[in-house]
Parts: sequence; structure tokens; C-alpha cells
Amino acid sequence: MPHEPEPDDYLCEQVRRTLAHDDRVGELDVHVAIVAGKVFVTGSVATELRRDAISTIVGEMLPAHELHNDVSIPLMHDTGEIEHL
Amino acid sequence: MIRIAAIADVHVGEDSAGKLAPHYERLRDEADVLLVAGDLTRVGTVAEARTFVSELRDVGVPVVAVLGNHDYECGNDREVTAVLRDAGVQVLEGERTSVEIGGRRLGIAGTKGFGGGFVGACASDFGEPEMKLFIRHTQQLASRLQENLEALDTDVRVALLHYSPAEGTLHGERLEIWPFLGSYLLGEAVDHAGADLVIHGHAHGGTEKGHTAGGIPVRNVAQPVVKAPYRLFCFDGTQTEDESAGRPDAVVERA
Repeated sequence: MPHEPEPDDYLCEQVRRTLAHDDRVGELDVHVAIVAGKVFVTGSVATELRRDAISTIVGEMLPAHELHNDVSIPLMHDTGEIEHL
Repeated sequence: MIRIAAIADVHVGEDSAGKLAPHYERLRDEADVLLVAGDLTRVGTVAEARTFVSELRDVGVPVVAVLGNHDYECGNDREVTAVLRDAGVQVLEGERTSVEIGGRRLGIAGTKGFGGGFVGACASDFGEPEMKLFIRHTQQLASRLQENLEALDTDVRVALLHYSPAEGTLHGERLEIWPFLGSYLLGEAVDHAGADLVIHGHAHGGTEKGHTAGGIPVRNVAQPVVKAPYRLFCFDGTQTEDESAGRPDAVVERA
């Protein structure tokens, strides 16, 4: 008999796999954790659209969980000092 | 001198159009060549490759790249490579090239590389065929990397990879995934052949600076790590006659 409800660890991996293969995201550097009934998504993606899509997809997959989308988009700072080798 | 700009993991999608190009406007004033260490695209579609080359339109220096795992996701790596090459990007996989910069020559040996892990905690080509295929892929790429580095008779030699050749640039990543981020076999190949610098990406949660077991500098230029359009490296040397006459023209030739 399958375990009911699905353990949080498996839910997290199901979400992560879905995000990696969804056409709107396609990113691997995304981490999913469920803590005290809340789902926290962290990591980084390249664009705002992909970050927004994560909210949509996770919201659809885990509608009963409060979503915290803490995914960042790499900021473009200055190139920094030239490294002389 | 030879000035190198390097970046990796830009993960360009069709939703990235116009986001990178403005950051490359000054590149031609700062560098003689741009190296891209894989994951140029989000999932490796032809449309994404076209978007990537469109972002490079004003770079104004030779561009040399290797593909990363994201560029293989859709199974279109040949088509992606063709789009890049049609746009003038040198794509290396088990290959080498050289760029002449004001009378000095920069040699680049490139491969995506692959995983397997690091000394004391690495996979072996033992057991199931699937495990043998996994590690033998890394062995083959590492072997070709060594051959290409050894064949480069240039003033400066750079190994351009996607996967990491050393543990030092992986600190920050979860230890459990290190075997999927790189392999000591790549570092061993670099150390046996010799090189002046290794550039890689792939480890978004890693750190920027490390070195091979033999002491060759390794730089992780994954964009989430460097948080910049590119990093700049300079190999200082005696100024040549051409350099003293003005900014050198960079000419790419396949070795």
C-alpha cells in the first residue's frame, strides 16, 4: 500500500523534477523544501519569467502549501578587477 | 599581453532576448577573446541558440565556446553547434584552436567534460554497463583534452570546460552532488599536459577560485557565482611590436 499522505521528501523531488522538465523553467539550480506545511523554493534562474513560472507550477502542484518563492536571478555587477596571471 | 573574458551558464532562452547584449558593449575594449564555458542555452533548442548568438552580435572579439549539459537537454546539440558556428562562434568538443593576439598566440583546448567525482570518492568503470559508460565517457573526454593541450604550441594554453576539474571551485555545493559536477580525471589530464589556466562553469553554488592538484589555476565563471557579465584574465608579457603599434587584431584559426 502506498504511504498516505506522500512524504514531503518525495513531494520535493517531484516538484524539482517537474521544474527541470517544464518548458517554462528548464533549470536545475532550484531547490525545494517543505517545512511546517510551507514550501520553500530557493536557487537561481536566469529570468524573471522563469521565476514567475515556478510560482505557478508549484502552486498548482502543492495548492495546500503556503509558497515561499525565494529563487534569485543573478545580478549583473561590474566585471570586477582584472586577474593577472 | 593577452586579455581573456570568460563566462558560463548564461542559460539563454527566448525570454532572455536583449538581456545580455548591453553588458557586452564594452567587452571589445577590455578583452581580446571571449570564452564561454557551457550552458549557453536553457535547454538547447535551436531558437535559444539563435537568441544566444544574437546577444553576441556586438561583442567584436573572437568567441570560443564549449557546450554544457543544458545545451544537450533537447538532443539538438549538433543543430545548436551549427547555429553557433554559422554565427562565427568556435565550438570545441575534444578539439583545440588558437587565437593570434598581437603576435602572441593563445591556445584553447575545449571539451564539455563530464562527472565522476574526485580522488577518494569517485566512480569506477566497474560493474554494470551503465556505470562503465558513465565513467568511460569522462575518461575519453579527459584523454582528448590532454592530447589537445599537449598539441598546443602557443604562448598561453587554456583548458575550457563545462564540468569542473578540481574540488576547490565546488565548495558551497552539496558534497553529495560533487560527482555530478566534475571529475579529477579532467584535472589529471590538465596537470599531465600542462596549462596556464582552466576555465569552467556548471557549479552554480560553488566558488570562483581553485586549482588542480598540480597547482594550475582553476576558475569557475558560472554566472550565478561571478554575478557579472564576464570575468577578465590577463596574461602579461613582453609587449610585442604589433601591440606597441596599437590594439591587436585577433584572428582565429583552427589548429
